[in-house]
Amino acid sequence: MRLNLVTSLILFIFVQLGESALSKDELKARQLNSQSGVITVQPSEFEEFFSGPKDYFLITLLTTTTSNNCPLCLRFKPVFESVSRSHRKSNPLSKSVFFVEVEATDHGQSFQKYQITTVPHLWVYPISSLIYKDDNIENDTTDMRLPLPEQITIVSEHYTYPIPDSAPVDAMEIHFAKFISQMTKSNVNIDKPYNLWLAGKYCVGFFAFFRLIRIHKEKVIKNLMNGNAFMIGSVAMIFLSMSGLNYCLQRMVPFLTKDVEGQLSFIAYGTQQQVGAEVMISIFFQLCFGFILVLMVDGGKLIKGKKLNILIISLAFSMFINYNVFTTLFLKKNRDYPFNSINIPTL
Amino acid sequence: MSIVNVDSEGYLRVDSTLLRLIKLLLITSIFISISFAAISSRLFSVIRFESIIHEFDPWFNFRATKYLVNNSFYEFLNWFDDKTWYPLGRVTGGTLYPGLMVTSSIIFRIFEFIGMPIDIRNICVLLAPAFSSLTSLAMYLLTLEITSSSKNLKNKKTAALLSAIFMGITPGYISRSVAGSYDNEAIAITLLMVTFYLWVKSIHLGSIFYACLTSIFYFYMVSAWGGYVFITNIIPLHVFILLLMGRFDYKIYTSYTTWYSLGTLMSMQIPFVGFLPIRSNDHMASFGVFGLLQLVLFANYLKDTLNPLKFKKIMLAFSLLITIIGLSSLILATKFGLIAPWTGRFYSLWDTNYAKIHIPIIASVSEHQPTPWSSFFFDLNFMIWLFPVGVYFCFQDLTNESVFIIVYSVLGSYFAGVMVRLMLTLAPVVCVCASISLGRLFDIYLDFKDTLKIWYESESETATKETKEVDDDDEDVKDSIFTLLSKLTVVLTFIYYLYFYVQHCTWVTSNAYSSPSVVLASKNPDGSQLLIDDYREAYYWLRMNTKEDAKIMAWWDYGYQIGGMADRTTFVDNNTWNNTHIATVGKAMSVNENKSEIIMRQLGVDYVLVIFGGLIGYSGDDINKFLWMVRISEGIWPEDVNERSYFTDKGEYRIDDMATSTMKESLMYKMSYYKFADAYGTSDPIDRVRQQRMSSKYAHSITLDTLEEAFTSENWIVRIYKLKDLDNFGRDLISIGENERKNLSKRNKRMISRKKPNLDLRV
Repeated sequence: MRLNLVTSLILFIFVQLGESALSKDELKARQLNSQSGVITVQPSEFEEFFSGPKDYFLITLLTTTTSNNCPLCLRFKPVFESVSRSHRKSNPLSKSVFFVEVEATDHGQSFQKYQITTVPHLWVYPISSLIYKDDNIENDTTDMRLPLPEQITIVSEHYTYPIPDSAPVDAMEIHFAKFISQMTKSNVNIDKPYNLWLAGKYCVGFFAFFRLIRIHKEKVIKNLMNGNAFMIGSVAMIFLSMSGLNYCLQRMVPFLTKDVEGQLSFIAYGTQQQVGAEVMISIFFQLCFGFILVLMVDGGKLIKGKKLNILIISLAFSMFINYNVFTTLFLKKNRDYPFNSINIPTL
Repeated sequence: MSIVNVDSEGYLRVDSTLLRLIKLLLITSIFISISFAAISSRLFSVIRFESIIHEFDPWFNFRATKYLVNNSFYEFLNWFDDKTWYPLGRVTGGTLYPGLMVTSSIIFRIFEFIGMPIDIRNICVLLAPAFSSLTSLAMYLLTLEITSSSKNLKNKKTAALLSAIFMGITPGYISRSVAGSYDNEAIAITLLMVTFYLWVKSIHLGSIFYACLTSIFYFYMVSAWGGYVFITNIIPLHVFILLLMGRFDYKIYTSYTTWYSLGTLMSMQIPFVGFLPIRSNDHMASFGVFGLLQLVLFANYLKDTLNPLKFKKIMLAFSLLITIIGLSSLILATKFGLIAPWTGRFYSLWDTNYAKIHIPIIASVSEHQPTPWSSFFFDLNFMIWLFPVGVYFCFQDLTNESVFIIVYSVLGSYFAGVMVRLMLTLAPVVCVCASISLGRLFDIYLDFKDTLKIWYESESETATKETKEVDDDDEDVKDSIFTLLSKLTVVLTFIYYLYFYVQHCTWVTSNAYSSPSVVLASKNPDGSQLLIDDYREAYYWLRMNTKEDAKIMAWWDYGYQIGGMADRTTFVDNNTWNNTHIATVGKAMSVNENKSEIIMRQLGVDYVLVIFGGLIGYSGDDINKFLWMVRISEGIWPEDVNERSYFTDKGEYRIDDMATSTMKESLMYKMSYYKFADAYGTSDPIDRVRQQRMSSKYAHSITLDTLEEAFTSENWIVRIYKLKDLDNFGRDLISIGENERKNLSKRNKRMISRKKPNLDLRV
């Protein structure tokens, strides 16, 4: 209670003075109250937060998470929160670094005023005495600091952290924490809550897997001994390698895309492009052709006589159709492909 | 006795020598036609353009070959090249695989000796197609050897011939062996196949002779291509798997130990390889298997002499000891630097994201990109379906040889999925497997003996016997007609696929793999062909108009071409041995003029060459490669160069008015768009590659103060700038330029803008 009283008093004084930032203690109190140590700027406090000289680092994230327009904002928010929480945990008594979040939809007017047109931005306002000259010491030529401007606002001198847009979340966290720790000269030990869900999933998965093996123990051992398991493994490996799975994983391509007309498309145009669904398509064709071919060669061992002939003819026809379906499909990837003799459109 | 006669039973008898002769003639003519197909489908570029060396690396190989032909072999091995990597130079003789150059110089000498002097350039251009016909021969032998002890496959020669023709024209192999692509792979794939053939043969026979031959060809392969590591690892893996399957025998022991000891000793004679075979981790697998084989032999001996219980105990203790000693010595040796750490390219094969994060220079090469599935179809056509089925058939009769094919196909397909360029090593095994499955299929469906027999019998029976059994025979004949029909359907559809295979291969070769990329081909609006010859125009200009010791700064892609065609000194080239030096050049290109001038003066640059495709829409230009320069230099100087600052706030890569200031100030940007506006007069210039429009006013304001334009080629693809000399009064070049622009009166400005640049065609 006393703290609140004091802070409101200080607030009162600062509001009276008109132009100065919030005090350390007040921010500390708000930091401790929030869940991850991120202080959300209310619409009424915008000017207060960014005006006036500061004696702390203000790490500011301008973002919008209320709408889905900004995927990068949504991706970066948990990183920001986790680093903020880690920083609070690593430096529980520090009053020199504060993480602040500004929601663009709440601050439309202020954003317009300072002509901030894009989010997200991560701006770091350092301790004012580090970058601005003191008023009373004049003309010190060795002093490389800037002269104190008349007004300090959200757009005055700050450091910019370029938010990486393609890195995975873990890498982003470390990168950002490194930046913060270098900038503010403080330790940040990234503290992540133990992921029970993931651990549980692995546990259940392994349990089920071993259970399955135990139930079919004899079958598994038999298949391992006679080489069937290796055969299936090798052929599956070849299927996967030739399906462009590696390409999809490395490029992190989407599973499906929308074409110009807004319809879902299973195939990306261009022989050097691929979406995730094509892995399935490629394996499907592999399976079809492989199955038909093996039946053609080994079918004679299974059945004999007239039935065999009927089977063979139907297999030959289905392979022929399959082949042409495939070339039609390939035509979608490469419009100049000239060897599609029979057009069988699918999908 | 006549050659053909009718014997007492009415059968036609033909002399066996004649049959053999016909067979030989047939096979020879088939081989001649396969060679013809293989060579002729690689000649598109020679017919369309001219006999010219392609792309980038071949230009270096060509230059080195010329050096070897003009100097002695020892001079070649000791060659220190001061014309590249200025000011460092390159110990070229010790850092290349000499196999290719030696091969073509020997061919050159042979032709000279028999009185048929041929220009070395033509030998270099046509080397790859010539070797491709040898590759098909090697494929034939390999497939024959692999199927030799197979029980299920009857017509082995059919399969082997099929694999030869598959290999001869598959685009996956043609992509690296068209006429003019004078690269290591041109002969390396042939050697790879011969080595594998000899290895399979030697393990089949257990003969020291064939093992020696294997190691000799292995040595040739080491001298020709860095990909020899593939052999170094796949042969031990094959042996290791055979050991695990409990198939150890003295044949394996003999051939492996002979190959390993001889092959390793010989491969160490190549200066570039040196002590790698005993120090690098890439070679440790073969060494480990060599040791393991000795242990297995020893264990076999103990097994014969000791009683089972004792043997078991000893074996347990022994294997534990060996594992511990082996592991700890490996770790210790790596720690103390006795064994070199794994190379980056090797890491990037296993951890596919490794290169992306750690080594931008490897990731920047387009050949190192992962492969989408359509590339497999593009390069291998319908063999991609026959291939896994062939592997399945290999499992059906699991001989030692087919284990080799299985290992090769699993590894090969994995590697081909990781890197586009490794499609090359996959292609041969795909051909083998495809031919095995087609061979099995044709065994059944091209075999009409049964049908003919039934017909013949029913005919003779009706002639001799009464009508009693005729109904039964009719049934048989009907059945046989039905069988014939089904067989013909299958055969016809497969002829259809094979026909389209040939069509597909020819089409792919002619469209995708036959461009020399030194000369570009495009179409005029009326459909006639237009040749864009800017590269050679610019290189020739350099050769004729600059001092002989002039030093040209360009991105590393063009290093070999400048060396080969312009004969001038370069700073970096496609032999990317010094990442820092490349990053220095990248930094000079990506920072502003002020900083760049300092770097260029330190390096001693005379001219700067950039590739710019914005005017005619040539997408492989430097602005598109620019981000790699930024990334590579950021790796060394993260505080000076930052990739993010070349993107706008919205994350777009822009080059128009909206570009970031870092982008606009960078030297590469300025060199590309300097005077770009003049080509468009008063209208807004459009970059046709990036599809972005600059405002005319902005485009006119792009200035260059430290460099002056020396040459711009016909279609603006190559632009060459000269670094200005220092000012006589010691003034800063940039401030001089700024002052001059300030002093221009409005009238003068107008005059300048009214003056139209001379854009006539120079012929």
